[in-house]
Amino acid sequence: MEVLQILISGVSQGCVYGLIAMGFVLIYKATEMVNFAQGELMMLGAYLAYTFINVLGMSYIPGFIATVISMAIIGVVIERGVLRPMIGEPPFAVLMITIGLGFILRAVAGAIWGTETKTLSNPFTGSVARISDLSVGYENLAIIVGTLTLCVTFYLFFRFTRLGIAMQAASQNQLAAYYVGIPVKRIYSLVWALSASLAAVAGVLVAPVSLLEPVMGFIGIKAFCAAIVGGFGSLPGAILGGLIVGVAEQFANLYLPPGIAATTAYVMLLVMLLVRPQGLFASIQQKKV
Amino acid sequence: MSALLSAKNLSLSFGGVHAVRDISFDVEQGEVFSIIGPNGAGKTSIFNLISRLYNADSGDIVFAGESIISQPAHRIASLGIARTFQNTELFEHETVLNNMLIGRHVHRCSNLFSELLFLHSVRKQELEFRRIVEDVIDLLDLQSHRNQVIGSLPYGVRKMVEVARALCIQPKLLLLDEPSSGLNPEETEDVSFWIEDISRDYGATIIMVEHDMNLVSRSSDRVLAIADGAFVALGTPSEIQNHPDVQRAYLGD
Repeated sequence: MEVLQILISGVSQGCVYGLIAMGFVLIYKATEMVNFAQGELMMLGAYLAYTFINVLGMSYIPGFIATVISMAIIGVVIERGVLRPMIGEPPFAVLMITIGLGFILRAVAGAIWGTETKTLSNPFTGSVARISDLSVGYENLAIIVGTLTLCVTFYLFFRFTRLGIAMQAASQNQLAAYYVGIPVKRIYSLVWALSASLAAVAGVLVAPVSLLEPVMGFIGIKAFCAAIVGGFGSLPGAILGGLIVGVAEQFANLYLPPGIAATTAYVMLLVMLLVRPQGLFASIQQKKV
Repeated sequence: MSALLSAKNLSLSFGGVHAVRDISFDVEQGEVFSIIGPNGAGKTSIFNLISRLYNADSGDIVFAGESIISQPAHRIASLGIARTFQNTELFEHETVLNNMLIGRHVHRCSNLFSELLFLHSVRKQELEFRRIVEDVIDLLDLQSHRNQVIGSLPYGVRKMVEVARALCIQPKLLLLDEPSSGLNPEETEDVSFWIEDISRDYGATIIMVEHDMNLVSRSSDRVLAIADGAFVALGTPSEIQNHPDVQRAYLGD
């Protein structure tokens, strides 16, 4: 029973990693840049939710929706203002820009909301669902259900809609996408909007189980490991990688000496790179020569 | 007959290199128009100007009575211009069928919600697209490759898939960038047949950049010869082949 209990909390933690990892993967697939500020976008999402719900007194669901919409707009602004001027620059320069962006977002959050920890009020706190002997906190349940819903929506979106298919096309071949009539630059903005709102969802869902602080975005580094474990560039891989890292971390927490658990994500990353560098769902193929 | 496409005094330079110098030509509705010239003459640059990949330094391009010189590249398909590339630009991880279906992108008129719910109107549209795609498959003999992933196909077939995708756009004007490059003599001969088919069955006007003079003379109504980005001669294939300036451009004095 204890194992099952840990499994569930691992899954819920893993879902958070998975959501952030999906943000990494979305941007990487479409634009071939790695956005190292993905974790900070999540942090910003959580703080915006705090502002809407705790400060402005909106109720939870409208506050949630307002957060997602504002983050989508922020995503577009970042793409237009910061990354579009970088088109054609070396990937390393773009990477440094996103790392810098992370620093700026942390500093801005610290300046606006202060560095002391905050709690987002939410309808879940304290309530626990009991399934026979298992007890699952509603906040964890919300994370799992939210992630599942998002996965299904994303699957349908990319499989069936004109916009979703256009996004896939733009990520596979820009030139070809242009000449079947896809506005590739506008698609990039939309990908950033999608990715930032995904981060917002992760932020709002994770806020009840962790505290709000400007450095909470560092979880993004673990999510990055999860994305690589899953096979960078694959959306199902991102979720699966997140789940694996999340569950492994919880078990390490229980069975290994204290402190080791914090390194789980990185150990798994190293092991994966040694054993199967392309990740679980290989979407990057080795160049044949 | 009126000109479907007119290029007027087009010029383009990259730094100090003049890729295209003051080129003008008219392409008539329904004709097969070839652009020839030695390597580096600026043929593909002209294509890239028409398809709006490059911005011209000066000059104008008028398509179907409308200036397209400041249209963004993604608008080209909906105006009715499709193109292929010298080295093929396909969606490598998708099947031939999906590559062709996305050619219908600009013709798709349904919204996010009806698509997610797969409403009747969306279904009808999909069926119609599939029919158009199947017609193209029949025309270009791609039946056996329908469900193969591009990455697994030989070069010659990929070139055909690119033409097929362009046809699915149902363009008024088709730009073919070296359709025979990398093909064996037999495949090159096929090219002249399907160019004839496309021109007849789809009523598409074709502009082609090509090195193979055999193919050019067999397929084209008119030929434009350029060298070092500048106009050399314009006329029927036999006029061009016997033109002293063209021979000088290729062979030197």
